[in-house]
Amino acid sequence: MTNVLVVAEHDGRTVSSATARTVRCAAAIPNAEIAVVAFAANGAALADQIATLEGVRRVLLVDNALHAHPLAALMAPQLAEIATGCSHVLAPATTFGKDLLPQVAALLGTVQVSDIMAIETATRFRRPIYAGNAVATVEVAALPLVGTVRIASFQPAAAGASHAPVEHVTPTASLPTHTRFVSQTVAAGDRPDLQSARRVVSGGRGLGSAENFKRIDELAALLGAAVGASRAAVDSGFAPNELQVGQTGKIIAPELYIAVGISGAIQHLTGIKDARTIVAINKDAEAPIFEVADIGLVGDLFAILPELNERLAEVLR
Amino acid sequence: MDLPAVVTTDLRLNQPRYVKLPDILKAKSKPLVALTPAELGVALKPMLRVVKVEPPPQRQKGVMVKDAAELVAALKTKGLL
Repeated sequence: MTNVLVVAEHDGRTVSSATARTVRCAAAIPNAEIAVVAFAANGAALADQIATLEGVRRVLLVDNALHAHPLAALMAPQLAEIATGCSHVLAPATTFGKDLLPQVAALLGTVQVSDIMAIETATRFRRPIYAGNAVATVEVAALPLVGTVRIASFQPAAAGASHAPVEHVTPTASLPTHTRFVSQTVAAGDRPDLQSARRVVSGGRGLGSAENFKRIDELAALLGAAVGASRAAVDSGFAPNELQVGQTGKIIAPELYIAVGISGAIQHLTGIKDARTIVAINKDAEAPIFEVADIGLVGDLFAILPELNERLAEVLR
Repeated sequence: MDLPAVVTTDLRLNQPRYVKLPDILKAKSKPLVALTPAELGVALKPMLRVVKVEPPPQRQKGVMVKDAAELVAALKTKGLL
């Protein structure tokens, strides 16, 4: 039996789909016995959501008012304690997991495997390197290991099938006081979350200005899609940081990805190549985005977008 | 947070300074100290081995459409609308 511990990512009310995808990854480990740990304040409802994910055998809830605003510095020592006896500690390779797991690996004195995209055996994994230009198969010498999971590579574990038991755990690890929560600013928006959206419309430098970037919002609103941006568009100030898609931004796998005015630098393509269908609209027929696009349209986006919006509105009505 | 601390920064935190030519020349005369892991009290043991490296699966090249109407039709055919 292989004891796998998954760390749940959540916003205090809802468990992220990244967590469900990490559970799916964990289930691919031979003979995995999966426990999911959640750090939360008043997390009973959260624990119940996690308990219904397919493959989860136990939910460990660390319920503490301190976790109203989870801090990696506080979670790490508790997680290291809970991980005793586990062979694998997994979390999604999102900002959450990338912040937390290196600290846990250090505390456990063990190795971290980052961006797991496939499990071959309990100790052998595939992961992207060189901005996704190559896939490395790596073998760890000994367990336990700590791993972040490339969530675009896994479907979410199904919810609602069963109900695993929820246990309250109270780690005794002393908590550091060197890092304290001050405040949090959440970008307000009525668009779906970029990381988990089924449809994403992204704009690039081709839009030319922040004003023109609003056309991306219009198209996204029509499709019920999340909005993304290339690094060039973010660097130029057309769109905020958190919308960046690509190697240094978010790695996503929507069913439909529409790239407007994006040339398709390799760092951007890394972030989207698990999308089911990629649509590219660009005026340069030689742009690399057309090499990966399922549907390509060469032309002036300022002429195409209004017509596209109109025709989509007809079809979707 | 209390110091000392290890901090990572956002990509667009600031504009990096570019190194001036005189500084590049000056760098040649700066002392270069080589440390070994043993001097730092660290015993290195490889915990991760690369078994193989392969090119990633390539996406098939798709179709080109000539206008917005064809694009919408293609999306419809794929059942995406």
